[in-house]
Amino acid sequence: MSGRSATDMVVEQPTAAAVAGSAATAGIRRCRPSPAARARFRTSGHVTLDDVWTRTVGDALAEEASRLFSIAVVPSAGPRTPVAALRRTVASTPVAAGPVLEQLHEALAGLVRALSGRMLVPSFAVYGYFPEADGVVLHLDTDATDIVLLTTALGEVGPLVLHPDLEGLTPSQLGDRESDPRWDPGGGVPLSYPSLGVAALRGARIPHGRPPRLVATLSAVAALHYRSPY
Amino acid sequence: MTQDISGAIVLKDTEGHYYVVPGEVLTEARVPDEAKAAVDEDLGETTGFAFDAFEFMGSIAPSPERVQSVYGSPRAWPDFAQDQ
Repeated sequence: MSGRSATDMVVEQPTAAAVAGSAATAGIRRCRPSPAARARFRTSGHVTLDDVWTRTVGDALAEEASRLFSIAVVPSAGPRTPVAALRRTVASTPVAAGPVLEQLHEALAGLVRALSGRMLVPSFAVYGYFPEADGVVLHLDTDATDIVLLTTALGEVGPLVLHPDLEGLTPSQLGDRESDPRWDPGGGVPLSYPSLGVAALRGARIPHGRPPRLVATLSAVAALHYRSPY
Repeated sequence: MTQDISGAIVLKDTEGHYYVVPGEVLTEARVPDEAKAAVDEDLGETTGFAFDAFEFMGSIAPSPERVQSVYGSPRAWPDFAQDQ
């Protein structure tokens, strides 16, 4: 349940600097989260914010994500959940990054700080690709992430499913859940990815994953990670 | 129009803990000018409240080197552990 709405954002006119900047950053609607959105994030650790950037930025992300798919590689780093072989139902996800995504990453640092109240800076951002099947194993983000912003860059994926009831479990314990045939990976709190906005999540605190499903066309999620430098 | 504040301020409590408060949070916390008198009134009545003990340490911005130490963390994505 995202409870999102356009009223979650306080929209201002683009600044002159933004207009003069790159196509990506110029298309960002310079906005701050509303008090309601900040309160929701503070109490639940997640919130969905629509209308953070224009269709032009969304198209630029889609174009860049599509173009970089051919050079995407499966990364060696990231959360690794130990799951029994029979329950490994999704393929490894290749990732790539490009300048449009990096500009967006940097430009949204202020939004992340206003939302969280913390002095966070960009750590890394990638497109994760799902050419045939969607899905992400139940996991916690690593210590490179205090907050992650997620958006649909290309195609369409299912909602992220949060499991706040599993907060405090270790990756090994999360693996035990995923390995259990009785475990329902869809039985949590769904958090959708907007295409012109973000789902913001305290990813190192709240266990999350996406149940496996087929996708009709190449799909990609952009994940923009932020952490404290202190 | 609200002026964005870059960087952060640093506060210290009586136990020596530091608090880094981003400029964006200060922007959100700005009080309308017409409400300043009410704040002044409550400030005058505040005694013994815990926040009295906070000490303003100064304002900072993370150095480029410090930001760079975070930026460029290895590209990552969740996956299954391979040792099962």
